Amino acid sequence: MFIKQLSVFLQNEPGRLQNVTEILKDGGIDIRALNVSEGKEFGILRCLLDDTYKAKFLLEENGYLCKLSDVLAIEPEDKIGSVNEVLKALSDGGINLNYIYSTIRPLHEEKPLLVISTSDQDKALEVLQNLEIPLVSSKEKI
Amino acid sequence: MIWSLNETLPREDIEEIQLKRLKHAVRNAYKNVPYYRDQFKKLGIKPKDIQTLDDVRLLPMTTKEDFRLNYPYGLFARDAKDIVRYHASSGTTGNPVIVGYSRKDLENWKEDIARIVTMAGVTKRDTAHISFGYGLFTGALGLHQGLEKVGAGVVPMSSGNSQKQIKMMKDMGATVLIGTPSYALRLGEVAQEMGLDPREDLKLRVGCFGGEGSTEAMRNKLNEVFGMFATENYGLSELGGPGVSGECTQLTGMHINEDHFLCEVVDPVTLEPLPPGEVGELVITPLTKDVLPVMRYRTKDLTSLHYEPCACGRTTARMSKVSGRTDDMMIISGVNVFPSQIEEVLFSTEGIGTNYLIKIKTENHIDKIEIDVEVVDNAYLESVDALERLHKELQTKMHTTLGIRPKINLVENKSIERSEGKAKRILDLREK
Ligand SMILES: [Zn+2]
Repeated sequence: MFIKQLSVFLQNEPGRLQNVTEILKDGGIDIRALNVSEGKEFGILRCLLDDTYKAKFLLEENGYLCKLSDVLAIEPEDKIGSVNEVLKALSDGGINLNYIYSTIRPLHEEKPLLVISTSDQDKALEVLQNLEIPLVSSKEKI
Repeated sequence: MIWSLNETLPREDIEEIQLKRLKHAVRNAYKNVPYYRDQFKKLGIKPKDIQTLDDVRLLPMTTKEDFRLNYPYGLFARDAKDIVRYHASSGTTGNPVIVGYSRKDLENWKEDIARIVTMAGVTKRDTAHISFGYGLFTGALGLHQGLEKVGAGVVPMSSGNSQKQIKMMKDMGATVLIGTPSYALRLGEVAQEMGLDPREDLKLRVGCFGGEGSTEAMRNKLNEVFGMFATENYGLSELGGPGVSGECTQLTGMHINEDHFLCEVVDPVTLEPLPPGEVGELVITPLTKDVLPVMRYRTKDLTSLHYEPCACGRTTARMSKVSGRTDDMMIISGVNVFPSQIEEVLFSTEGIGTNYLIKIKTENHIDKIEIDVEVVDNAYLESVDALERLHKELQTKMHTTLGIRPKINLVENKSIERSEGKAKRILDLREK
């Protein structure tokens, strides 16, 4: 029930992120969600793509350091309190959140997609399954 | 195995040979090189004044600049009829240094290389892949002839086209790799990019590296990447190329071919001799050259000399790994910094690539040093914290080692320019 996320190392210099999006555009790859964590001198781009493996291949060919990892992607209802419900369930389960971001546009009508990485992904999966909020898996075409 | 009995003589016998040959070299320079005759006159000395090995200090010193001023043949003691080969050093600016060899000079050169590759463990059963560039550069042909003398099968690959190099090494089952250590590491990367495991898919057993300085950490990396025994050897194009010294399998320093080269270590500022074991500038007088009887060549390389016999059975003096060049030394805010120190830190840190670039800048009249290093381990992409920790670890280690605080830039993998010969590591952007 996990989904593959691509992480890319970025130098903190003007245009570095754009260089990545350029490579993805030229490869005809659609970015479904993206997030940049920044340090002082560098950053990590994390993204969900419609063709993660092709993107990894293209970026590595251009010298980028890449990594694939499993993240959780859930589709809470678009209503007040739904995100809180997810986060509360995780914190009640003693699970630390590493990072969270959401998609550029919803996968299904009216339902934003939340991408979550935690200190214990297996336990987080169990907690979220109990909430009966739809989870998106790698099998689903995002 | 030891190639020559001259490598195992008692010290008195070595010194006896050296003195006899030094007198001969001095006479050759005085008689056949007008430049040296003038220098001797200026110093008020005659060849007969050289009566002991210590008298070498009476002789004039020679620098690379003297080669340039006497370009192309001014330091030659023989003319075209006796010369059978020329080589030249890569002059980055102005004229290159031209060196010439008589037939006897070439024989001595082969002999020196045969000793050095034998010391490193090479035998006639080996296949040696030479990745030095052929041509005017002394490295490739120098090693080539010495390896043939030993009986190894030589693959004269030359430099460049790294993928083809890997294919040849693989297909020919090369057991020995010859080249610069930085290019060897590059070849390791290329092999991995080609989906090969250099340890399994290549048969490399011994590396004989030279042409540029290297560090212990670099050796460890080479051993790890190729599963080989990496050794280093030393020489200078001004003195005819590789063949001055090389490491035996004990790795106790580089054994000097003392019957062909008289080595001194001096204080680079006062030029006074330093006792054995102390680090200073290496000064070499070749003892058997027909064409270029250079007097006391200032190498600008920093090393120390060690005279205790080695466990390998050789009695020849050893020079320690060159720890820097007197002119590579960077003075950053009044602190002496050598690129080799920086290398040592980078090579001993996990997750960092083998390429780096040192940039020196002036900001508000203060020298600033920045070091670009490549992140190569994708485990660091787990979190920005992991990258920050790596960054901090490097900053701390650099500060401890150098005494100054360089700014470390973690840069994208493969974003630092690769070279196929001597690596360019320093970019001095200071206002002159
Ligand atoms: Zn030895």
